[in-house]
Amino acid sequence: MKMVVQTVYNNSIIPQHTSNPIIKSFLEQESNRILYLNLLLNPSRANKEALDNAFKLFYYEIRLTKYASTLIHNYTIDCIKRYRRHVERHLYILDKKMSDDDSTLMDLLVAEESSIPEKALENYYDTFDQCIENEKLLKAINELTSKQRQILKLYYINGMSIKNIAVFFGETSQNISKTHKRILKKLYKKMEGE
Amino acid sequence: MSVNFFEVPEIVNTKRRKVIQRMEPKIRKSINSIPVEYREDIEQDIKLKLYKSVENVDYKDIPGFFEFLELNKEG
Repeated sequence: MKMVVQTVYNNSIIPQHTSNPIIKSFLEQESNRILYLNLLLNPSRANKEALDNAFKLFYYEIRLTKYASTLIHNYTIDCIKRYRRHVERHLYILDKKMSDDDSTLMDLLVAEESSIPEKALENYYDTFDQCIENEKLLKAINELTSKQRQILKLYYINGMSIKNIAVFFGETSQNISKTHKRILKKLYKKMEGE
Repeated sequence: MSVNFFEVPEIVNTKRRKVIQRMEPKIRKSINSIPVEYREDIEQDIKLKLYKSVENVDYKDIPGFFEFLELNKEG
C-alpha cells in the first residue's frame, strides 16, 4: 500500500492543487496525504468524510491561529494605551506636580543624603580595601590592571549599570560586559589556584 | 458511521488549547515594550481575553476539502 501511495504521489496527481498554500500545507502532513490518496484510489463516502473532517480540523486550527494572533496584536496595543492612561490619571499623591514648576511633593520629603544612615555607610565603602575582607580576593583584585579595577568598582561599589559604564569609558556595552566576565573568570581562577 | 468532529467538545477544546499554548511566545514578545511592573498584569489580561474569545471563532461554515477547492477556484 505504501508503495502504491508513493507512486501515485510521485506521479503528481496532487500538484494541480498545490498553488493554494492552505491545501499545500495540509497535504504536507503525511497522514493527510494518505487520506487524500486513499480517496483517490478508493473513492467512497467514508473516505471522503475522513478527508473532509481532517481538512476541517486543519482549517479550524488555521482560523484560530489567525484570530488569536490578530487579537493579541490589537489587544496589546489597547492594553498599553489603557495602562498609560491609568498611570497618568492615578498618580501617587507624592508624585503629583505641585505647581507650575516640575517639583513634586516627594522632592520636599527627600532627606538630605548625609542624614540617612544607609547613605552614609554607602559613602564609606568607596574602595576595595574597605569592603573586601578576604585577603586573597583583595590581593587578586590589586593584581588586575587599573581599568579592570575601575570597572569592578563602578559596577559593584557604585552600582552603575554595564550600559552606563560603557558610556563612561566610551566603549560599547558588549565590550564592557565581556571584559567584566573575563575579570570574574580571572579572579575565580586565582582564588581557586592558591 | 462517521462522527462530526465539531460536535465533540473535547476535540474543539483541545485545538483551542493547543493554539493558545502556541501563542505564548507571541504574547511575551508583544508586551516587550511595556514597563516591567505592568507586564505581568497585561499578560494575564491578554490570556484571559484570548480564552474568552476563542469561542467566537466559528467552525460551522468551515468547508470540506473539495468544497474548499471549489471556493478557491471561483475566487
